[in-house]
Amino acid sequence: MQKEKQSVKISSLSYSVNGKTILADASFEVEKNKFLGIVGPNGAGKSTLLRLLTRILSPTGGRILLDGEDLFRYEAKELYKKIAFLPQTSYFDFPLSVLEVVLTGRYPYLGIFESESDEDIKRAENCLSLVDMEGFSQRKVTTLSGGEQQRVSVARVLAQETDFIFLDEPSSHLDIHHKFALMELLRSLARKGKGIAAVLHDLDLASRFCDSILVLEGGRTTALGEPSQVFSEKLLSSVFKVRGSWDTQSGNLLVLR
Amino acid sequence: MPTGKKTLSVYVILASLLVLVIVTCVSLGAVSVPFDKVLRVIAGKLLWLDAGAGVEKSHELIVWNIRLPRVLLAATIGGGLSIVGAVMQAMFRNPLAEPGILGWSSGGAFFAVLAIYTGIYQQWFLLLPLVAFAGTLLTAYAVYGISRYRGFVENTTLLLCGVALGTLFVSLTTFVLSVSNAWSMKEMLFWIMGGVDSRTWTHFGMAAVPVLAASVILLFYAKNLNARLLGYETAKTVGIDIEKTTKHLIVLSSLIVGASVAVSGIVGFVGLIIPHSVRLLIGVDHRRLLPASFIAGAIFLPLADLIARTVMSPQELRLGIITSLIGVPFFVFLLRRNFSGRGIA
Repeated sequence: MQKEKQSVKISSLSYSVNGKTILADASFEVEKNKFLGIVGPNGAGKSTLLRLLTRILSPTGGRILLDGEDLFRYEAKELYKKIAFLPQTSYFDFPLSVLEVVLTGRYPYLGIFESESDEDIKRAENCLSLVDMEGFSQRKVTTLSGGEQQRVSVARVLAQETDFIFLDEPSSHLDIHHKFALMELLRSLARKGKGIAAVLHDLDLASRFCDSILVLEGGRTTALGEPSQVFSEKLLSSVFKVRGSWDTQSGNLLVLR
Repeated sequence: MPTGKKTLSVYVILASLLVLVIVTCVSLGAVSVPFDKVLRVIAGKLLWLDAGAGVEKSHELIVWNIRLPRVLLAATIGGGLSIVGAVMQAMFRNPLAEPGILGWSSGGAFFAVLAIYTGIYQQWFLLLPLVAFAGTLLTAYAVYGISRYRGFVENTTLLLCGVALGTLFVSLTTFVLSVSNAWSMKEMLFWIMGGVDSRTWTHFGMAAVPVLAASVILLFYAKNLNARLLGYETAKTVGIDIEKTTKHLIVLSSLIVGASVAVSGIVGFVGLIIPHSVRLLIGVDHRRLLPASFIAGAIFLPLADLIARTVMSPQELRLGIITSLIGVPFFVFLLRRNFSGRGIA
């Protein structure tokens, strides 16, 4: 196999259901070492886009290449050793232990009757400490707060040790401290070589931590580029119906009503 | 696994209890047979020893021909229904899922009644459980298909649809029985409020072959079921082929339910009581939950049957009545617990 650039390359991707177009003609690339933020108003097709990138849905048009190979050519276990997904909603109605939840991230690596090794458990514990949840491994997930559960889910995604990580609103449910901590973690993971794409609602956070921003509106790609270029006053008012500007002193985006 | 030692001791305790319960249930009844005689008869038959020599013919008859097949059958279907309950609860991520509540048992029982009253069951000894399996599978797919919307199973719809189809099949069973024979009342009681009375080694064979085979295969899906607890999208993106393995799980579970129903009628709530109790004991991981639920169910049902045949002796109660009496309060408890948002078990 020729050495392709490691990336998730999306070309003319579209998805429609019952004749209604949810996503139209999206083309971009999720690259290693990069943290891509996907933003857009409600119903813009952001979650659908992530579901397509993680093969939960099949596109009705266009294609996705993972490391140069069609996403749909991969065997499931091989695919999910390369890409991991944090869904918008995680379900914790059964009292699994925190460790048991994180260890499901190791499942792509295990044979049908194979159990997690001590090494797997060590990795899982390590991922828990990355999200500030060390010492919680024997707790039942049902007893945790929403924010703690979300951090356990992030640890599960990290335990999968994939090149690419897709996250759907990872910072919802988190308090302000852990919001920043998570964004810092994602950025540092990108710096260490992972390719990250996250649907984000907080434009301010997205502008501070992401390397590039993809703006979706009504299923169409409105803008793609560096935060400082994408978040123009014009775009903020036309797409998000807010006023905003760049603070020249701090270099941060200020979003006003 | 970090809890390995505890798990092992739970298995040892459960296995010892199972043996003890089987011997006790064979020993007790309208005519009690002493423990040592029970063991001697069993050893004599199984090991071709002359351990059974000296035991009265009547006792040997009671132990070997009447009670042992009955107790072993109760253990088999108790184990089978419990493992299926655990599987269904994870598969549908619904703590109230159970073969009786989701209508699977009623569908299987209806087909079994059809097989018996058309006479086709006489062709081959496994034909009756296979026909019941077909009925269970049909019902399972109908309930699953109706409550599935865009890949997601809606919990309330699932339960209501199961209850509705279950009621339909009970009505159809009653209809077939009422037009086909003079003993219909008694027969109806047998199928709708199931039991293991007057069951023989043939019945045991019919149930044990499919139940044990399918239960062993289900153990291969333990990690799959763990992942499903976290929801469709998480399970899918840790490499679980949900669509394909849901089919496997429904077929294997239906095989167990069909085989159980074919020989014992509808015995409800076992699949609810046992897995939830076992979860409290050893946790949610299905690699431990499935085998432990099987053994616990195999302990529970012979005991329930012992109550059924001794509590109003010489009259026997239906086993299905006993399991409902225990199961319904349990069901209500789970329901209340769910409302309060404290999760399951």
